[in-house]
Amino acid sequence: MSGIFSTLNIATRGLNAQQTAIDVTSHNIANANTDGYSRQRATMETTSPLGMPSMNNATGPGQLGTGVQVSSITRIRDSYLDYQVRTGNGTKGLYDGREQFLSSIQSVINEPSDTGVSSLIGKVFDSWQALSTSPELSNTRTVVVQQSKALTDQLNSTYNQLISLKSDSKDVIKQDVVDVNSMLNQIDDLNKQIRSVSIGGEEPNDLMDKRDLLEDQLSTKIGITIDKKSFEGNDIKATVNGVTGDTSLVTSISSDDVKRLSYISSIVPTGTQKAGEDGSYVVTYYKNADMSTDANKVTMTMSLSSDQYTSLDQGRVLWADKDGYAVDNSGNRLDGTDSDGMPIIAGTTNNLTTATGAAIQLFKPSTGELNGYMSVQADIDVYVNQLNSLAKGIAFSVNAVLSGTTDPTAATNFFVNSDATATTSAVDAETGITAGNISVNQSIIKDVMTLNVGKDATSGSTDGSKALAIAQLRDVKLNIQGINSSTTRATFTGVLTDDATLGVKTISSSSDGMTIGGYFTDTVNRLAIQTQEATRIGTNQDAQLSSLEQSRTSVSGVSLDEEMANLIQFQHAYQANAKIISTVDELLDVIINGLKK
Amino acid sequence: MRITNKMLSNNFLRDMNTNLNNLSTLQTQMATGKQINKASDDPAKASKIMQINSDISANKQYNDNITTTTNWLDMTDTALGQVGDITTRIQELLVSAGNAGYGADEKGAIKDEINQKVGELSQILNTSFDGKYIFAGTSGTTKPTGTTEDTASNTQLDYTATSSLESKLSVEVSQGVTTNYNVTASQIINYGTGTNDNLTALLKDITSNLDLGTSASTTSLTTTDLTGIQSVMTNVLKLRSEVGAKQNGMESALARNVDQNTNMTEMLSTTEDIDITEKSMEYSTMQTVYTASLQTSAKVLQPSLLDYLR
Repeated sequence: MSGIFSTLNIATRGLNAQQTAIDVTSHNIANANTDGYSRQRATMETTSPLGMPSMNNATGPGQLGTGVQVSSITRIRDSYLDYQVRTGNGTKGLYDGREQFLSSIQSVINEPSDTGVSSLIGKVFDSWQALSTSPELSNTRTVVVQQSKALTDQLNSTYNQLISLKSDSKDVIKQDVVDVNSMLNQIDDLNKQIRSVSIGGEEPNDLMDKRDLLEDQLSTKIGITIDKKSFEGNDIKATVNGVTGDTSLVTSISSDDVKRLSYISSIVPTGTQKAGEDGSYVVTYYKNADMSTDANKVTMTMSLSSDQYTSLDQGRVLWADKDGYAVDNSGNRLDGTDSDGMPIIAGTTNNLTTATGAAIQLFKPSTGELNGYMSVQADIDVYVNQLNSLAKGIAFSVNAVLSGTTDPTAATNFFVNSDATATTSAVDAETGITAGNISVNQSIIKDVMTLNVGKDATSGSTDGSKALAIAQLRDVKLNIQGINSSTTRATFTGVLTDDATLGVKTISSSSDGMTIGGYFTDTVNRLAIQTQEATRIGTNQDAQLSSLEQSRTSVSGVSLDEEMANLIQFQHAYQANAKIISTVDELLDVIINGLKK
Repeated sequence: MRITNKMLSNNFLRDMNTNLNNLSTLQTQMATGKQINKASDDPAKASKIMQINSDISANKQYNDNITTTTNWLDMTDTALGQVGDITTRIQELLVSAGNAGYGADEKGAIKDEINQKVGELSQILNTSFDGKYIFAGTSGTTKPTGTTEDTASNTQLDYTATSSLESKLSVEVSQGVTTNYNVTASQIINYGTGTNDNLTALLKDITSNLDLGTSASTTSLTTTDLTGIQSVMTNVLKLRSEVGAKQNGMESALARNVDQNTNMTEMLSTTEDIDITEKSMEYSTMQTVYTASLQTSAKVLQPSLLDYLR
């Protein structure tokens, strides 16, 4: 038999519990529109009842209840949905990133249109046709020269725009890496706080919401795997292709063994080789991709093969230890020079490895925006190479038919390499023609009558046979897809054949070749299909993600109507409890003031 | 399934965005009149359009070629006709020169006319069209023939054959099809295979025979010289019929070219252009959908329990 004061206590407990519940409801309502917020519920349970059988207890009816307490404030969240959303985010980030840059490439190339490379190629061949019927006039020659110049100018400008797009995508990669590093540091901080609160026995709901939101954002950028550890700690590992060794980014028990990401800003050849060939290079990277100060700059000298150079150039992001120094797959720092000119000090593993092309570890996420931007780099390289092959194909074929030989030193060439200096040999200059440096020979531009389009130097003034042969190149199948940076004119055209009707030497059609116009159309086609694929998958992912988001909001979202109904419920309960207190007050009044006057 | 306010507004935003996207696509299509505005809208169509465009522009160039060649052939035909007239007149003069009753004065008059005719012949062989001498092969900027006065003050046709004067000009009238279209002065002047079977020698012979006035020379005027001039006429007729055949060929090439142009333009239009009626229908349907989504969302999003609690 407890006293009247215990009834008061029960009512007080009730008041407190309902008040806590109202607090939780008001917290929910206040955060109804907060990103990543999951609704919380105060779970109430009865306090331990009186009358557990023991020596001191009087016997009486039943176990008497002693009131209510809020046992925990839990957040309602489905972690399986979280996992699905994060996987979906990764794919969406990947294809959105690709689509962004592929559409830019598409607007640079700008086909089909009246002003693109395709119609310019047509106009060039038309002008050679016109020249073949009136070779004695200077204006048909001027038209040929001007149309060819328009074509080379357009090729140059497209090339330059593609190159600057590539460097733009590198900037975006760098910015993303900075964001990823900062998110990882924030998650690490939150992890520590959550763990210490959890150990103390409480539920760090809002901190966990913040951490979940950061993990969602992180999953858009790179692919991550999350392991739940004790006391609500999370271990985050990156999902990457082909990296041996530890890929931990955040560990629940804070350690220094985690990795971060650094960004390569330049790869400069030290020898005489051109960028992209085997040789020795100076690789400069910034710790944690923070290029705001040069104190973060680190340089390494190493020899790279051509493939290693390409993957470093396209990837750009390195695995680094917690301080930002590049490491190999066992966690040893790679040797190099710090920003103050001193060699790098060995880190926690106390080992320094020599920096080689094989030791350096590139960060290659399997999904996410970073993966999208990195893959776009590879695609831009492919398109630039195709444009280069096209330019070389045009230059080689026109030069060959115009001069009648496969030797670039024999006569004045129509298309030349504007980057060639006086010391470059003619063969090297022509082999080095790219879409960025192809141009019409200045001597021909200055005096168009030096263009000789007759059968040979002694033919008559109205002989346009060579011009006709060049005009017919429009329909000749050439082996353009086989051109690379070292193909020479002789390899490309093969032996020149005699054209019986015209009496000049020309290139014969090869059965597995493509016409010049056809090759360019093929390039545009491939670009269009890639862009369409990226857009399509992005839209699909959008639909998928939105339905997952729906499910997530359905479970964790705040419904104002529901909170309102709950509020009324708790309000009434609070009022009822208060009523009990005032009733007890009256009873106490009777006891204290009424029993003995 | 538990629905929250955020879900309703998210749904609305997403669907409205989809509708606006569709509206925007339709708007661009109707404004430009073309189905695809960038290659990724439909890659297969885009590459077809590029191909057809380049074919159409090549076809236009062939059309220009055919027209120029046709004009050239017309000029050639007219010139050959004039050559024929002159040789007919020379033939008449030769026949009349064989008249026994003609004395030295009459023969002199005939010789003067023949000298005139030689000059005219040279002028015709030097016909030019569009800045080029049409009978001059590939050296079309220099006159192929000239006249000189010899010791007996007779006009001689002066023609030296070179390889460029005798070469043929080619033109491409459709893909991969080239034809020769010119007649050279050599072809007109040389009418047979013998070394003296040419006009220069023949005319020289005629004028010297007229000068000599002996009976032997008069006989040869009506025998060897007459045969010669008749061979010249046959040769010119043969060349004219060849030119005529080429003109027919050009006409049919032109007709084919125009047909091809029409076909390709039609193909381009079916691939590239929109059907304005169909697009207008789609547009008004999409507009209705958009308006409906706005109206219903407004009704659903606004009310909440708070409106009804005291």
